[in-house]
Amino acid sequence: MLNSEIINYIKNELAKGESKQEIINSLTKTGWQNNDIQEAFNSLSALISPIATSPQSTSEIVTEKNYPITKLWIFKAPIIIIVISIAALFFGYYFPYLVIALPIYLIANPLIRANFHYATEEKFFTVRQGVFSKKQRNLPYGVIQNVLVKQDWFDRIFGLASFSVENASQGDDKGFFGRSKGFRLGGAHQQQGESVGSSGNKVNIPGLKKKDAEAIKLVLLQRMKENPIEDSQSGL
Amino acid sequence: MQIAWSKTRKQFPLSTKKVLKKTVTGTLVWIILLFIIWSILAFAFSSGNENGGGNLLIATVGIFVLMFFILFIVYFYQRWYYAVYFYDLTPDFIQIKKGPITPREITIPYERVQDVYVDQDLLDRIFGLYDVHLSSATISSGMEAHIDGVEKPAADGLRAMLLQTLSERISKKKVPIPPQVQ
Repeated sequence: MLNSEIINYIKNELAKGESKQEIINSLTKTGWQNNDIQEAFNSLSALISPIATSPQSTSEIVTEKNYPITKLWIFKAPIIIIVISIAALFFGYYFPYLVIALPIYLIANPLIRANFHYATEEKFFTVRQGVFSKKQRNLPYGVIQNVLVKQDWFDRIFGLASFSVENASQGDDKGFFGRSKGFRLGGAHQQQGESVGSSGNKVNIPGLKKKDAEAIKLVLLQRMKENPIEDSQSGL
Repeated sequence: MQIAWSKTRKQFPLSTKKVLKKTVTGTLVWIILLFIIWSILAFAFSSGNENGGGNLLIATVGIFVLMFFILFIVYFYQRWYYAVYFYDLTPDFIQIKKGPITPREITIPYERVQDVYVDQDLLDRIFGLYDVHLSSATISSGMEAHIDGVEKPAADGLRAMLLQTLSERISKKKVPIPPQVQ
């Protein structure tokens, strides 16, 4: 009698890299009939081939070309500054420094955006970034601690979202001149606001379209499922 | 309001008392502040001119109206927050999503959960509510990954289910068990 239980078992074992003979051995030991096992293998090979060729397969690598940071993100900080400045003007306040910051954002953000690349490769989530000092980070899927999708006020209004993954590392955050930022308050790596790409224990991709962020999340969760870590850190 | 049901939330529902509790915590500071303002006004008017009584009445009514306005806004927001609060224990991940205006969604793989604990603050004890926390090794998960405002059976159920799944998943990696013959 063919059932899904045995097929699932074989599928899982194959995914772990067990050989066919080992699986057959362990199944016969539990008392399965030889023809049942053979039947399961046959139906499995019929099942596997269409899945592998389907476009939905996660073998496809998702990069910033598929789900880019929107151009709107460049204007996010300037728009917020303008809105705050106008609101402050109504109350009779005036912040000239904020206005000076505007052109800096407009020059820096396009550069940051153009130099930011990510890819969901087979074993690692790869991020390349940096305008002057370059950084490449390879995050194994197995060590991802959590995946976040966030929207702030601006994102909500314009239908954007930021996507981030975190691992448990301390991060090796180098400053502009290659100096470690250890002198920061309390030595704590606080991630406020919107960093782009890798910083501290986090890889953040801001300014994505909401549905793109969800799509990346699904791809990454699938990858995490396919690449579990063997040695669990959990104490439970 | 449309409630964000999931299989887990159906099984272990959030308590509606959570809305009340959050309304109390959200408005308590305002109420105290308004009371202080009212006391100062009362003092100023009573020691001032002969028309003080009338002014005090207007001020009292004004403060009460403001208080109910704040109460209403906070209550409405908390109702909304309660409705969109989403949590689901899927076979591979724990998903928690909250925040009606600025949503934050966290997904944690079971293998990465570092601890599971249940706690109550003072108001929780008054209302009989429990918070179920689970966190991975990151700071943000500590802030985001908790299910707060469930009653005792749901809290115990959630904790038991989490621990069960955790230990199952961790041990499954070590010894694969072939399915039994039927």
